[in-house]
Amino acid sequence: MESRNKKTVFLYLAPAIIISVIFLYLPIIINLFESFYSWGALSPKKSFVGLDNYVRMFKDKVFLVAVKNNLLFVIGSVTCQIGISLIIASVLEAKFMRKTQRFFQTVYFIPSLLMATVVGITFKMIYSPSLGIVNPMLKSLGVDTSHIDLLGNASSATLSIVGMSQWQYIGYTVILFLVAIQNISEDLYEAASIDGASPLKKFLYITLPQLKDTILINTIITVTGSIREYDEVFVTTNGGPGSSTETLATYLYKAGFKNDQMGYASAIAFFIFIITFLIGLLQMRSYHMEDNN
Amino acid sequence: MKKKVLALLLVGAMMIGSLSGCGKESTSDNSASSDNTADVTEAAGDEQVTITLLNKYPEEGYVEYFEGAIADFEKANPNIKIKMENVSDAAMKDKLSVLASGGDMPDIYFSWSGEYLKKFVRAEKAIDLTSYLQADPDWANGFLPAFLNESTFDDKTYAIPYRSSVLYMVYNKKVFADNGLETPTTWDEFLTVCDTLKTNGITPISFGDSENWYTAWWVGQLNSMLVDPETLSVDYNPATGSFTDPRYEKAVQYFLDLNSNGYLGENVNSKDYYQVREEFSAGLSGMILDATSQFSFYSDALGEDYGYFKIPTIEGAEGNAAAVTGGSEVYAVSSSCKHPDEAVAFLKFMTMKEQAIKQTTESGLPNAVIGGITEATSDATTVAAYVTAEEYTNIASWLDTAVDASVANAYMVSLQEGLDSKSASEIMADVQKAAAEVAKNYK
Repeated sequence: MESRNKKTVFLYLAPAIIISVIFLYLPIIINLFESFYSWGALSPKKSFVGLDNYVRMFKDKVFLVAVKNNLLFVIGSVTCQIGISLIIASVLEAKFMRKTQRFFQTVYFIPSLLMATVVGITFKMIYSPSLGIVNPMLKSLGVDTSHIDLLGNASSATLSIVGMSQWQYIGYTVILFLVAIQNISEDLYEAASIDGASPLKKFLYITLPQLKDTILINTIITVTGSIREYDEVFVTTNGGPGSSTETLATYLYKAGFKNDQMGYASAIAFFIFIITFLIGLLQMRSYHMEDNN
Repeated sequence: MKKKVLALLLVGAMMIGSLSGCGKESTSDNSASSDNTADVTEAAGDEQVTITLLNKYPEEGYVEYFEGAIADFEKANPNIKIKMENVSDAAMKDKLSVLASGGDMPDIYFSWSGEYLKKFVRAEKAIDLTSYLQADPDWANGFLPAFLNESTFDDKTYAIPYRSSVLYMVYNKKVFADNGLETPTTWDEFLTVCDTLKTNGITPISFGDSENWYTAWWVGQLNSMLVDPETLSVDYNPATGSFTDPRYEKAVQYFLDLNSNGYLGENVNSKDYYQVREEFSAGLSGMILDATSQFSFYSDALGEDYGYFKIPTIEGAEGNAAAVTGGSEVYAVSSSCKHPDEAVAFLKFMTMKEQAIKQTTESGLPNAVIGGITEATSDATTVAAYVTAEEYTNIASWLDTAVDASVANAYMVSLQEGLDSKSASEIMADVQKAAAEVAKNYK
């Protein structure tokens, strides 16, 4: 009976295992092998080049620009979607905001429901010097706008997209933090009040420690999201002007499907995989730490 | 026990479902050589055949025409069914690369003529259609030769042109009249026109490069004007291209000068083509570089008020003065197509004069047949533009489809930076690097 049970268990597990091997693990391994070759979908031959693609990657200026841009996304997203949204959430949860909390909650949350394409095209217009509203607003403040073209100048394009991304997703983490804050027992705050703790101290010594898990998970979500950043860049500048707003994902796509350098694209893909994998490991480790405590 | 059987069945069903997506269609009987085509046709006489078609016109106004044409064809050939998939212009290049690497090509697929098509020919993804054309001289001789030549390599024709396009400067007649301007024929006159418009506070040329392909039209045209055809064909061939000739840098410089003199308007890197052609149509600028395939847009927007002139010639330039950037869009038949006869029958139906004229009348897409653009199909300016086109002996393919994809990309990315601050020599250095990289793969 025992062995029969085992067989049945295996049978039930088999589809999931087979599907994840075929569609998840096998492609990762194939991708690693492909990255050792120089080849294209339409190129005449496929030749083994060893680690050349990886060497080339770290010498490639565009790749380094992409890494830098991803880091900008990480810094911007963690600052805004963790730091600022935590502050917004605790302000919304403050006693004097309770009545209007729902209203602000909705206002902050709506942008994150929009599609990246919609937000991208809208911001392309908002940022446009000829059609948009940013330049006229700056002008009315007395700024010389003749050289300001937010998405058209290499120096300002990446930060403009990072800003747009924060506008869209800040509300999402605000909601997550709000829910977590509401789960903190009122007793703790009451006890602190009796001891005469200031609101700031309550935030630092009760809210923050109690939110450790949520902060950790949100950080991991935002960081991996920033590393995979693709759609917002694709819609607004598609990596331009020049290659100043290229991210790892957009550059990977262009290397593979525009330049037909599939081997090189595979190498970039593997690099992204390694980074996200390490972050994943970090996540699992921190869960274990929780258990041990 | 019953439960176990049920579980087994479910597991089996799931596995089959999950695996079926990975299967590749058998392609063992795809090599129907031309000498036994007669048998194939007979055998296929009453058999139901489905032909897949990858097309480039999902937009409203175009898709209706293609659906109607397919319905007409199916009515006349009840044993053939055409299954069309439409993909937008921007997505097409990616889609074709993905399909080519996946190996499951549609029976008939869209391509641009010239180097772009050549890639498929080299990879043996397109069948030689010469024998079909020879079998029907009426069909073969009906095409404007320049366009059919664009799909012919080593005397073998690999694709059938159905849409033609030639690059011109489009201008706003009213703006020109208001400023007392005449259409220029030489580059110096052209610069004078630009200068006058700029002085009068009108943007001389509408231009926007946020999608970065628009520079390829300009520089491709300047290349064909400044560089002699022999050098061009060596450099445009991915196996031998080096782009070290100093005239390429000169071509880029001519273009960058237009920008630095302010003739292309402001903030070019954050505007796209669709935005600037609206600006032109609103009378905010004097000129725009565009192809005949888009003329119906200007005729709708400006009516009689738009005109065209040949791109001004540069004095002392060594390129082919009778060359113009343009090209055709073509249909190729995949080498994995199991029913090439039926596929060709459909192509013939689509590109015979009667249907070609219908295409232009109904969808506005200019056809590629002799005498196919008339007052009945198009507005007067477009008709005149096609008469002018007969003076051109040589079509220079769009730069972005004429050269290898990564060279084209190096060109377009660097030119976008050039509109900001990068110099012509730095731009050509990027292009040369990309060309060397590509040529290495052919050795």
